[in-house]
Amino acid sequence: MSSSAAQYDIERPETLLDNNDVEQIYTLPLEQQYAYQLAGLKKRFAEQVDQIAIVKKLADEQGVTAIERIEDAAPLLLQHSVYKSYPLSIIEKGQFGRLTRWLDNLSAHDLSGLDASSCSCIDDWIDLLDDNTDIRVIHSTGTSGKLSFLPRSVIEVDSMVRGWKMIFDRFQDDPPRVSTPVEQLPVIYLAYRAGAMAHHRLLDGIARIYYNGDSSNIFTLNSGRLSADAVSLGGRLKAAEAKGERGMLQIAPSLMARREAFLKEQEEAPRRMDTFFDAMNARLRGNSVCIMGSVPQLYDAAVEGQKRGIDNLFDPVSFVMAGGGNKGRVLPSGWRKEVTRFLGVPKLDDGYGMSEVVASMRACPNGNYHLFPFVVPFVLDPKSGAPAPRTGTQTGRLGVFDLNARSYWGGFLTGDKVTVTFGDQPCGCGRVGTYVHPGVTRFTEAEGGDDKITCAGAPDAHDNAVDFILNNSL
Amino acid sequence: MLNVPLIAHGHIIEDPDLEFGGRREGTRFTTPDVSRHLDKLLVSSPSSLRELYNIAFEEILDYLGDLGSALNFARNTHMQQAYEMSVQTSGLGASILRKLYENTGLVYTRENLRTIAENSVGVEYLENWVEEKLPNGASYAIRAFGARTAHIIAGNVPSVSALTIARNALLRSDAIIKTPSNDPLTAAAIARTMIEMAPDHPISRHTSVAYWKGGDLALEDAIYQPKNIEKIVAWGGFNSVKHITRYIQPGIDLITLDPKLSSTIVGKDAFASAESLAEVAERIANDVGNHNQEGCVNARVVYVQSGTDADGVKRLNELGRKVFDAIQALPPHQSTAAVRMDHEFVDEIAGIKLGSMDYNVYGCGPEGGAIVSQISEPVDFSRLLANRVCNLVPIDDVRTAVQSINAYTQTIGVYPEALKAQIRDEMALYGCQRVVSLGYASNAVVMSATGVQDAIEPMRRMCKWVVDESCDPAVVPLPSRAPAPASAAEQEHCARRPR
Repeated sequence: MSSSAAQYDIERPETLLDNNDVEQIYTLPLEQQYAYQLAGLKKRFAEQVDQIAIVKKLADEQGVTAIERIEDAAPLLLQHSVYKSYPLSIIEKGQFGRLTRWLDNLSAHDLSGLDASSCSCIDDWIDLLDDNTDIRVIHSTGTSGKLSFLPRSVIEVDSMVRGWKMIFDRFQDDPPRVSTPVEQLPVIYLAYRAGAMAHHRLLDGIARIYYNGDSSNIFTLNSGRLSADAVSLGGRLKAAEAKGERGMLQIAPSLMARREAFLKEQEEAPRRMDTFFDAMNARLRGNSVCIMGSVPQLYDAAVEGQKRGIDNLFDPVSFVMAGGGNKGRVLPSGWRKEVTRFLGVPKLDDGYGMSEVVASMRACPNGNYHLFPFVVPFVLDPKSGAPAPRTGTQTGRLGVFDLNARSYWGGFLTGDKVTVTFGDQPCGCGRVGTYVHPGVTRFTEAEGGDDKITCAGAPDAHDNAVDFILNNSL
Repeated sequence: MLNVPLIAHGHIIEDPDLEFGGRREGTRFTTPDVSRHLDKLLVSSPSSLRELYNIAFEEILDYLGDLGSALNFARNTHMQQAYEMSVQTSGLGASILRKLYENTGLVYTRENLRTIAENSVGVEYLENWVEEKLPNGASYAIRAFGARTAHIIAGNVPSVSALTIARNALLRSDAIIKTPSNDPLTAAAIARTMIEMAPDHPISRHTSVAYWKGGDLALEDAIYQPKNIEKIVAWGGFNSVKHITRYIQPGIDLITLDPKLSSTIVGKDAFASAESLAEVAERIANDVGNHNQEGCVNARVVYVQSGTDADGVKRLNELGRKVFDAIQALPPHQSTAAVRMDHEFVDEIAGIKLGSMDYNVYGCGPEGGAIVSQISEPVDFSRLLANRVCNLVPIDDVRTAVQSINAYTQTIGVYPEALKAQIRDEMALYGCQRVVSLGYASNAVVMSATGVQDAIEPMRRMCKWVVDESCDPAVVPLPSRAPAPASAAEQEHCARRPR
């Protein structure tokens, strides 16, 4: 483990993540952190205000012409809703040229020459971007069926992979999280292997960067692709059901045309589950692994595993990344115990992250989530939007600016209600800088909404949509 | 902490057994545990309604007229307390609420009540058996009886409580009114006033008011039984109405006042002159802004035959600006700036304002405003439209707007008047329930006088209609002596007999 000082180029903010391990990053002195953050914000604003149309529009509207202090960036945080501000009819009518023009306003890449006329569905459009540009769109689960599209690029996917690897870096005398080098670490994801949600982009990046393009060390419940179209339809179905309008939904013919493929996949589901558990039992028993999934996915896997008489499957020194809350599912009170017994790990780690930021945070020994210096926090008054002073402990709506974002705007206003202690009052665990207290809640929870990109939960919507398609043959 | 009493058949019970939260922070209240008082709340003998039949219709009007006077806001402390609570819990501004509470007594004026009863049921059917003769010599008599009814009421305006109590009295029914957390007190305040005014009057004793948390299965299972209840009148949102359906069984009728949305269709004549455009803007502002857009009658999506080409959209943007101004000009007893903003809605507005070129946004903060679609489609979040924000959508042909009507549509405001007659048949086929002259969507005077409330005729359905058929064998032969074969109608009747 290195204890040398962090090496980075202040003119290239992404180098802090690229060049350093977690100890170097978390021990960067506070003054340097703040200087790095201010320089980074200045740099990103200066280079993107003319490259990304929406940044120019936002800056004009807010009257921001330059960043002189960190606080100056507070009015430049984008609501998540911006990333789904296209009319849904674009997708229903298959107008992917219009969707491309809309996305062009959100990205530093020039999409004016991209011809989307061949696309008949969202999956086609994502493939078109993947094949012809550096953009690697990340879509949300879209609780109402309207997916948000964050135009991340290959460079930021690389940063995501760096951020993922940092989970296994040890800070001071932290116990190890895995006992296998990352290059050999089996990764288990309890959902689809392919797709365009954050996890899928991360898995693709891990395979490309650490496994030489080989995916055989990645174990997924379903080797296929999570269709963005099916996720969207599933969300629309759920929303229509909640409003009593299920009978009024129209399904795009392009989606109906894939009915046979969906049917085949559904028929194979039980066999796939057996194959997955056989592979884990035979090839991974006792191994140190990294497991990713939502809480309900982990619980469902534990239930399936127990049915097959499997428990204590892995090396206790394994890392479980359980993300995104319970997804509206009510789990039995003993679910944590069932999951840990099945996996054979002593406990599930608590973490805090969001798809808008390339790296997530693990709880420190005091239970706090320390923000990496490349994530500039803002605490805003939930009503007025006024930023709280950047000292001491403050409660409000969290805004973040991810300085690793180079091809899209890194400033986001989350829907999270947080208590944050700024770097002038250290936590005592040894990490320098600002931290978020445990007990994050969502402003929209009480109102029944959900506007955050979450990284899992979509397979439910997918299955729901597939059932619907299968039951509605034309 | 405020205590909400349980009013159970003439008893006022005030034990603060349980604590509940209103829909906004800091609006908690206590109330008795209803399950401890079911013996007082439930009327298991149908004949207990008989005492209501010892009073004539005119006496009911006398009673309600006295109630209207007793509800005088300046003197009635229960109503003042209900108002104070509503200021905390309601989506309406204090100035609007004050006016509504001051006007509560107007519901109970003799003339208004008689019109409601006459237009909805017919006073003679409430008072007597109404006889008719058939050509074959048989005769029949029909009468509208009261029923033991549970009312699950909405809390968006206090007049829902006042109207429910009036209807119950006019129909000689027994009411258990389940109040909502956003207005737990108004119905109780009125019922309490009734008991203080006339403790032994049958109408006072047949008006019960209770709060419990909707979805309390054990309690609701005990209450919603055919032996206690014959009808359920359910107001409110999709989930609450859907929840009630679990209690429906043979012997219990459900009358739903479903969640509905209302909209507007404006024909091209709006653009005939500067005057007509200003008039249309003011009319739209009335339909959108009245009572802060809290009602199902308020307009949300406004289709305008401006044309969808560049010139048309330009015309529509001009109208959008005028609508914004007209909303700002609404008087404070009718409409105010938002009391609170929904986070999801605020975020959606921010999203399109910045991220989309398909919508122009005029205002749309707490002051209200207009989103003008630059494409011929409403915003995707049109169901969230609130706080006096409407969405103007350009169309070329009014048929586009008519086709957007569905089973969830309630009121459509139309301009100009002549267009209304042209499209109302088509609108009815698509699902529209109520068509109004633009600007009059919230006109409570006309709405209640018709007695049909968005045309679902709740009062007619709240009655138990009973028929008495009379046949003299000398004139109408007994079936066994009638010539064969049996008619199709008789066969159907046999098939439906209970087994």
